[in-house]
Amino acid sequence: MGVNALEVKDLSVKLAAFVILRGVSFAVPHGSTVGLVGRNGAGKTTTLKSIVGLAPVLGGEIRLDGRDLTAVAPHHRAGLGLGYLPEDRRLIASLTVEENLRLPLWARGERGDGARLKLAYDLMPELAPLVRRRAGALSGGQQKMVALARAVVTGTKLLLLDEPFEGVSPALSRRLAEVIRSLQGVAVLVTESDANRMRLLTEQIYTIERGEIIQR
Amino acid sequence: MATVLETHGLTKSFGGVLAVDDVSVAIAPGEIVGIVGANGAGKTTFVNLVTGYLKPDRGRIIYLGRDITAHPPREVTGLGVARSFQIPQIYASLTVLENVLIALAAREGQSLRAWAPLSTRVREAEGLILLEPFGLTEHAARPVSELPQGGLKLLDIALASALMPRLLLLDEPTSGVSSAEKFGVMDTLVSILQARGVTVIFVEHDMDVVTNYAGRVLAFSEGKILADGAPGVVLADPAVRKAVLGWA
Ligand SMILES: Nc1ncnc2c1ncn2[C@@H]1O[C@H](COP(=O)(O)OP(=O)(O)OP(=O)(O)O)[C@@H](O)[C@H]1O
Ligand SMILES: [Mg+2]
Repeated sequence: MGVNALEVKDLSVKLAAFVILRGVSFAVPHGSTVGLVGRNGAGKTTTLKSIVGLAPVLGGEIRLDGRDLTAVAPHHRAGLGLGYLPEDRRLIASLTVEENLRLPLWARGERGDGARLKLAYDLMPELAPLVRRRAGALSGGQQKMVALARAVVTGTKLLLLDEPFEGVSPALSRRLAEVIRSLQGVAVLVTESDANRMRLLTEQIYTIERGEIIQR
Repeated sequence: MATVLETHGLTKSFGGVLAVDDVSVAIAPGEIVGIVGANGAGKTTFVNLVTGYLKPDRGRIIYLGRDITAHPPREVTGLGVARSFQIPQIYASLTVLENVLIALAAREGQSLRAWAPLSTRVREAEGLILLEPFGLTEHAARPVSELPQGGLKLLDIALASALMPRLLLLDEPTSGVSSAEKFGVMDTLVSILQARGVTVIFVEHDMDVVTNYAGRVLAFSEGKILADGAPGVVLADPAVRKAVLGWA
């Protein structure tokens, strides 16, 4: 096992007639947090989607602990220790918060009483009053917090967080940053449109513009 | 003094959660009001009540002297109250420009089933002009489904402003819009709206945006208005700093 939890090499993605990513390369070392900063449409979300298997990869390599993910079916990738917080949260509105958090464990055939769930609850005591409520009835920022907790539950190796602070109040942003920084032994890849806000989390930042990494 | 909007004792709860708790506020014509507050403080619920998407348990909503409490959203919109997000719907399979043409047609009262073509030269030109300040002109021909999240947000605001409202409510207009672009967007938006004398209420988590563009700030906390006044005063209030910013 090398020093990197995640290695992305020469990643290219094309959607319809548009090239979204061209030759994107970067690495996330074990246990560290790496940021991807760029404007709307720069390719941040597509990069994360390629890693979880939600974008059609045209060429390049994505390696998790050395293993090529492009050869792994998307629905098997979560089982490898990926935790994903999508930009638009994607909770199941009709289920409770607790059910949303247990669902990824059930889907993998585990009993829903995992240590990760407890970890998420310990890290975010703010979740306690929300657990029995329907996810669809939560406010925007409350949903973001639940989506982060869900990523923590499955993300034993790598967390992929797409704009975790968008729509989150300054007070809760500080708390979520604390939570992310306190995770032990997990590599984190975060996107953010604001380089200053990214520095709350990490100094290891790549800048992405029009589908290309232009600076690190 | 005449007001654009007044709420009197506005209250809404969901089961055991008191989302908006006895809120009374009066907003004068042309004011640009920012709403800040912790997540779950009741900001969106307030917007939903004013625009008719939710019915209050108690209280009244007066718009331009007229009681609009519990009027359905379509009627509220018809009276000149627009909001970003839902009105009019964004049709994901259509292009950006087509969505604008629909909004313009709706504004002119043209039914979508009517035979008159949606796309006239004049309307297309107006549509492109409308997209311009939001940086969306170059995406005019793209299907909406291909826009990034931030682009969708901007299109939503463009569509709401196309309705030529008297009162415009924007729920987090800049969230999802990258920091490099948010100030530019707010500059253009606010100057367009101010020139037209539109009264604006916007919910916002970015305190720099609030400070720069709001003439008045309402700080919500647990369904109540904790502070109301000039941005410099409200955002310096220790109780507000604790509830919203997380430090004293
Ligand atoms: N349809 C609903 N059913 C049940 N509870 C709801 C519903 N809508 C909102 N709530 C609850 O009411 C409270 C206020 O929610 P609201 O969406 O107004 O907050 P907000 O201030 O807009 O927060 P945010 O900044 O996170 O968007 C929250 O506790 C929320 O969970
Ligand atoms: Mg809200």
